[in-house]
Amino acid sequence: MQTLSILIIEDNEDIAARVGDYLQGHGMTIDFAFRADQGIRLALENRYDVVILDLMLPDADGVDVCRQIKGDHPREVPVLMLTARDSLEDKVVGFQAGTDDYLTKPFALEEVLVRCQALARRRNLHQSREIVIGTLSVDRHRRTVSREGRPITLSPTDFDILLAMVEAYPNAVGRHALTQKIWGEDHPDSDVLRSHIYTLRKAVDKPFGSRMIKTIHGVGFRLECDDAL
Amino acid sequence: MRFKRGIATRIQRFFLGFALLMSAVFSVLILGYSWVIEDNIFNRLVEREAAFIADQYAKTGMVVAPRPAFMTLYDSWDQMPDPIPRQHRADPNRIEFDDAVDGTIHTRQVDLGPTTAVLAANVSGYEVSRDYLPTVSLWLLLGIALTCALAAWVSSLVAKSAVEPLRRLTDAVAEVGQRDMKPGFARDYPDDEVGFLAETIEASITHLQTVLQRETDFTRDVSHELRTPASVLTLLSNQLETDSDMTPENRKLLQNTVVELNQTISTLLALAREENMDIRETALLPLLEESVIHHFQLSRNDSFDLQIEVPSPVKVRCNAHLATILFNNLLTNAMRYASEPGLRISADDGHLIFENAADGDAPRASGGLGLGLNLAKRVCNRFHWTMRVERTESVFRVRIEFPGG
Repeated sequence: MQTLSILIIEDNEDIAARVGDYLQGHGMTIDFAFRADQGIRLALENRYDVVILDLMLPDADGVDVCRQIKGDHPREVPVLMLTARDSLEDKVVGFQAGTDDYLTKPFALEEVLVRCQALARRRNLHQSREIVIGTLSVDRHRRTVSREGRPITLSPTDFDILLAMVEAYPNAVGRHALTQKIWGEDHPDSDVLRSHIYTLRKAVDKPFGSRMIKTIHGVGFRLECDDAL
Repeated sequence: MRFKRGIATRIQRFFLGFALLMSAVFSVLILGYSWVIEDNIFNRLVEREAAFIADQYAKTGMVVAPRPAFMTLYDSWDQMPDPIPRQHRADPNRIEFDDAVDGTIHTRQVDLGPTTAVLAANVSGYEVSRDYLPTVSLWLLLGIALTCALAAWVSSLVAKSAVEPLRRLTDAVAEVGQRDMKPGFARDYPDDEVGFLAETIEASITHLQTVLQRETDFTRDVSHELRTPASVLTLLSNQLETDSDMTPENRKLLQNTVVELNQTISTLLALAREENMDIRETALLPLLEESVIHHFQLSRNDSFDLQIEVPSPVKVRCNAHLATILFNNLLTNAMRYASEPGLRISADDGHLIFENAADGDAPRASGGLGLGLNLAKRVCNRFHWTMRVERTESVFRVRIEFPGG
């Protein structure tokens, strides 16, 4: 697992300590800032993979802090906004300030971990056209797939289905959303999707030791990989 | 803002209709008046001549012939040309007759001692009103047209001046929502009924905006003040899962209570927010799929057997955010309280059913719902859905009925 460097800007020390301990327990390097000015200084001076930012800080609004970090930072650093405000207006203001993701309090620590991993992964995606999830590698432009270095041949539809799962990772993609994305409004019956998932599994999972394509019964599909970022 | 049947249009139409009706009525009256005058002149001429003949008879005992050439003296009604005798018998008081051959005949009985003669005047050649009828009608129609044009112009001016303040007020009210109403906007209106209306609307909208702002501030403050300690509580309860001397029952009770507290905070805040009043037709299946996918614990729990049997065409009217909170709570409850790890969600005949295995001996809090039946029902009521909880020995079922289902 790749070690991520994370800055937590949060005035509530109880929350900051528990989030920090949990992430540290998963091999991440953590820096803390309990005030906005301290957080901005640290974010601009160091190279963090993700900044976890509380929306309400004692000396400044988290939205302004986000704006400053995003505006002055020489390289794009993903910001995960932790907030106790969840109104539509607050979310819109947050995203307009450049927030990459939003997590409403209270939250599960596992979710913070997964979101940090997803943000770091998303930043890597912008930097390279190849998406790597564990041993799976997908090139969006060349439309090629390989696993454990061995090329996998897929039909165009199978590739699109796999790409939808890769883009949604670590979240699942719903069966209905998937059919809409691949076939649009004139989507075929569910047997066709099932048949594509079968051929996809045959190509991506069967020749290898572990299964990556996971079915969430009745809902959709998700890629699963223990050591992925 | 424009309306298909605006007040200005209605004023103009009413004005125009009234002018048209009045013009037509007066035209008919003019024509009728000319006919009446003409008839009366003929009647007087016949009456005078009849009086002259009667007078001559009284003086001389001689019956003289009528002086005007268009008058004829008959010895009796029966000697007159058909169909006048017959018409006279039918209506003895009638004095004017229309004969297709001879034209219009005006009559008068002349008392000649033992007998009564009938003086008849054929006035067809003197009926000027009939001769002038086409020309007069043309002028009258022209007059009607001019009156209507004038009425249209005047009504347009009247409607415009009467409705203009109302229209400005309508536009100002229509813009509320797109931007805040500027304070004191009612001062721009005249001191009349419209001005009073503007003042009342301004006061109401200002009050509403204040209330909305208070609601926003309140929910924002409540959100922050409750969610922050709730976060600490949630993190602590998770920590207790691994390092505490609590009994498993107490640990579970604490965790369930924290989950219920979090659900209650989310649901109450969502119900209080104006933004969640936006209700529209939404496909049910993607909403359920999204709820499951974004349910962090459920989407990562491989042992939980979730079955969704909802046809993709099913659509319901709801607010997506609020409905997601409701589904999220039902999913969480099923995860926490089901006696076996599984949940079946099905849609059938206007119903959405959440069904899981239940232990018949273990009562569930709040009638079976973590966030409390009251709040779940409040969410359902917002969409005009009906929610029922059914429980058998082995099954716990939440049945949501959609309107018209």
